[in-house]
Amino acid sequence: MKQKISYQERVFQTVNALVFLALGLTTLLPFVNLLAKSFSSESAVLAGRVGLWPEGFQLGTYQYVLTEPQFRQSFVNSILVTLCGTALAMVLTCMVAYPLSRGWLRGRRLLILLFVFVMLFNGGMVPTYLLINGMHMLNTYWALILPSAFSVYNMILLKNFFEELPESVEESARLDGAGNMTILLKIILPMSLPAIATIGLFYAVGYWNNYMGGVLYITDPQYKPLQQYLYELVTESQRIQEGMITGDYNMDRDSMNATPDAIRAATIMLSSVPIMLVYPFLQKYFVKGLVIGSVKG
Amino acid sequence: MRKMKRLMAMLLAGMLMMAGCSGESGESSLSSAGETQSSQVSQASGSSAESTEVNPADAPTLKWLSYYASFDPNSEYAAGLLEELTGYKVEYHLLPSENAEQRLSLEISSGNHYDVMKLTYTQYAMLAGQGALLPLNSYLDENPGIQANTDPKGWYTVTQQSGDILGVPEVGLVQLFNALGFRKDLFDQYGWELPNTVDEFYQLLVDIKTETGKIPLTGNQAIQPTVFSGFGLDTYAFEINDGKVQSYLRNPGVREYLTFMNKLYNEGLIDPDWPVNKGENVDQKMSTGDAVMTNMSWSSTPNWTRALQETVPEASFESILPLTDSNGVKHINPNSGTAIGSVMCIPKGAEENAPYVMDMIEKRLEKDVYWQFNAGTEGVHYNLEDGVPVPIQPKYAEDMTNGNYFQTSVNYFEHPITWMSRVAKDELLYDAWYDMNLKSLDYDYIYDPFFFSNFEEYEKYNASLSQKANDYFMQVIAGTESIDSYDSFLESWEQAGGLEYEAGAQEWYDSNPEIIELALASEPAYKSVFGK
Amino acid sequence: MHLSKKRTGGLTTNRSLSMYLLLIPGLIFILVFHYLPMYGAVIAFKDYNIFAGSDPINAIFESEWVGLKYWEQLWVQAEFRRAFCNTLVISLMKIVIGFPVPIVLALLINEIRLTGYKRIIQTVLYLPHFMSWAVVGALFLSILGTTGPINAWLQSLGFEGVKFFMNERVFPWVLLVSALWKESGWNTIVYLAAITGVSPELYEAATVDGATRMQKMYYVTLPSIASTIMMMLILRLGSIMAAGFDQVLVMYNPTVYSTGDIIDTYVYRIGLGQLNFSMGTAVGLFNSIVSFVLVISSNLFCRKMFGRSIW
Repeated sequence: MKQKISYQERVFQTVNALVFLALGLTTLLPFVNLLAKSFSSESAVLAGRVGLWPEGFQLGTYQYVLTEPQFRQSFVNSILVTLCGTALAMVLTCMVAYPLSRGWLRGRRLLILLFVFVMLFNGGMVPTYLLINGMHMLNTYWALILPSAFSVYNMILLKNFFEELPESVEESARLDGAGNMTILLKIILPMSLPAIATIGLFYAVGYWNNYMGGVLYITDPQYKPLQQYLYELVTESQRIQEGMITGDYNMDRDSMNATPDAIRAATIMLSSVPIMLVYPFLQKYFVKGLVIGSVKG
Repeated sequence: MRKMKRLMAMLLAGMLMMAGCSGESGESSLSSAGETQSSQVSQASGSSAESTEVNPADAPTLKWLSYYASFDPNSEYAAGLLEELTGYKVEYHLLPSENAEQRLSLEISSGNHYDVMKLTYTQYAMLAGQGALLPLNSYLDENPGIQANTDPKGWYTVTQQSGDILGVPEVGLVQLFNALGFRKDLFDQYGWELPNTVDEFYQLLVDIKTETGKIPLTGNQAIQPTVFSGFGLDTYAFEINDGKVQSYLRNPGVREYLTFMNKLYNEGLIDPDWPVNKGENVDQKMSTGDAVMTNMSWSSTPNWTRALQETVPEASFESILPLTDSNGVKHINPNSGTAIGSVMCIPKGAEENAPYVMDMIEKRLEKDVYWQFNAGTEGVHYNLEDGVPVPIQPKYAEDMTNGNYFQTSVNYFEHPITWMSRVAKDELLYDAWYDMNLKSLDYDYIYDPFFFSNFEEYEKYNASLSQKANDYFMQVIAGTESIDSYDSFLESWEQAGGLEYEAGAQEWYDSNPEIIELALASEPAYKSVFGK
Repeated sequence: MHLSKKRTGGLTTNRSLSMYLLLIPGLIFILVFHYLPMYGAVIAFKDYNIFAGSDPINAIFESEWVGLKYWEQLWVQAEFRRAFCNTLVISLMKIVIGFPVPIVLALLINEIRLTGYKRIIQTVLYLPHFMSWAVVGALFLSILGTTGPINAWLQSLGFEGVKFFMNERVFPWVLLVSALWKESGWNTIVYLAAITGVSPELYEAATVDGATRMQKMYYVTLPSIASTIMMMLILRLGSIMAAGFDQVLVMYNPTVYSTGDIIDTYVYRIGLGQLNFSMGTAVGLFNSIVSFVLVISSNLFCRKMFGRSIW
């Protein structure tokens, strides 16, 4: 790869880097704005005077959110559910994706169709609720973990990655007498680290962002997941804000508990930063050449 | 707070007078109502101090299910306080904000156990219609304090035709929450007059636009109540003309209103983003000073004022009452929201703990307890200044902010006073509330005749039909639809359930004219306080 | 296939047996959590009242059969038919224009040479995925509103302002652009992972042949991730009926119903305040059937045409 870089390529590199700089700014700036709001005074946020730097800097908002019992409880819930759920889901998904990725498995097509069918059809909210209720899992962490512990979509992605792996390595291992489990654990998984990282990220983000689980299966606030807390906080303040203008709401019930915009911004920041930190951490598995290197080594 | 001192000297006397009057009128009207109801209520108000036999010490932890809240009620100050004061241990469960009705019906139909539920009126009506709720009549006799301490009118909304009472209603205070807010400082500076008629209002918008270039009027609602009034319209679902009930949509004033709003929109006299605005956009336009007027709740005034004063130190807001129509009437409509804030009810199958539940409900309505979780402890959370509980911050904000969540109903006698702690916590808030309510008392309020109504078709159709009308109004205002299509809109509205909706209202009206009279004879909660 | 059959029978069976054993937990999972609850779909054909029986399941039996009542109820409404068309149009826009975007982005990101810069760009591009539509909607409104910076800029250039949120022809494009902005970065992840699987030997061979980076991108990288692209496209077609409920609900308003109202938002509006499980299930079932037909036929098409498919 030590060839001389042509003029054309240098132009391409520069333009490419600049285009991504521009694109990156469009996605980064709104986040910086949200961050600045969370450190700004309420008046400045309300009047829309906050740009990329806090106006009327204060830390009270974070102090408030971090001492809010429901936020802390929900935060812990979501971390717990995300960790356990992702681990369980990865095991299940690998166990299904591997057999279905082998072209020689009899009945493979039918089996895949069996999985694809449930990706597209479902029985709806009532029977699923009754199932969870019947298993006595309402108001438990299980209700948040189990129903989404396997995603057909992710399984198909992983299966596709497995299919792309060079078969030669597997064949030679098989000739050495290795069984399916050995091949999966010692060869397939180490060779598919980028894929495993991707699917793991999808599951983790899925669990972290899961909000319907709380809506359907939780009434005890102790188990409320973070996204439901966040959603309800935002809905509540929007509803009150809306009501103040249209007059169509019961002031007595809400007693003016509209959540200030700065608190909303801080809550959004605090709830999205942990999961966003996962990706840079996973990026070391996305290095090109890792696949072959791991096998050779 | 100067105004407060001046005003509050009369407060206690005024309050007692008002409570006395209302109680009396409530009772006398009730005796002309259905027999079941009148006997119960008069019985209840007769003996408020009667003790019941249940002992809180024998009660298990009571499981309570309610509409959503963003906080955890179990860790609130009031939860611990109430356990201490009433002796009942309560475990609070919450419905989600989304899919709440589906979730509730799943919980109840699959027999999940809750001892008591605090629901929105819609949620209550859904369960009541399915026969899933326990009649409370006998328990109310056992715990007379519940009816004795609550607004007698509210009970009509939870009484079935059979006479079964299925819930304990919470009736809000009759007062004005919204009016057209305007920038007092700008009006003074440019010498604009406060408008009374539609023509004066139009001229005012033109003046603001030409003289300042600002947005004269912002907002996002299909029905702008101030302007609506100018065309002889109330913001209520039904009108009664010679005993015939019909939707407000049949009032010819609606067409005139829409034509007028469309004209304002086309001439750039109202916010060009009107159909797109969300609450936060309106908030922002008022806080930055980009807009001069909008429909304003006194509770949003302090935030706007403070934000504005950082750049315009002299900025302040006051309110304008609804415009006068061609008959010289101002349509001041208090409490345009839901009549009943919430309903406490018990699902069938929870009979076992019902005596404890009802005792708990009754205890929370007792004067001392009610004060403690709504206003707090004197000297700790508030100080009494001329009879008004004025909050001590930050203690009040820490402990009392969500206190009203724990109400089992509204104590008719104490609530107007304890509630004042919520407006007295902030001087700007208090002034805005005072300004709006004082001005409005110069006129007669027009009440919703169906305020205490209770019929199936309303619950079934109201939300979707209101949405339909709202959508059409917005399209006409923005010019996407022409006003010429009004007849075909009305026809599709009728087909989408409008006819059943009106028929249901008519039927209810025919069988309950006295409740309508009662609703129309409501009184502003703070009338006597303001010395009017 | 033929090759494996020629092997000794014993080895094949053994090999297959342990594979089937591996599948068991997954099969049990979908059986319990997906197939078992499917009986619930019958309420699409019933006038389901959840309180009609002793419990919600019993209530299904007790409720009256109404056949295709809910579909008929919907199809006679001109507004529903319009929402159906809008759903397809918006979805197709998002697929035709939106589907290639993350692929192009992934290919170009892959060409960035500075590793640190590349990582930062990747992370930054997927930030919007973590914002809710409520936040994104507010953001776009502040930028594209009549008083926002874009309109100020247009007017300074002497053009007439554009009411992005109130113009029925422009509004679908606002939906498209905001969806692209929010999800494109996130959607590159699968392709970037696939690109890491491309054998470096292929690049080396291309280098020896004197290929430029652009040529390598086109002749090596793209074909290597072709099967991933195809799979993603088939999966994407499966969600054609989901044109973005959360997004539309936040961003639309009555003036753009004619092009912006989709099935989900329409059903949401008419169902306001009504507890109708059957209607929701009927619409869901209809969407599932459309998706299923598309997935099955596109998979078959890919298998016949390219010899590659999901199954």
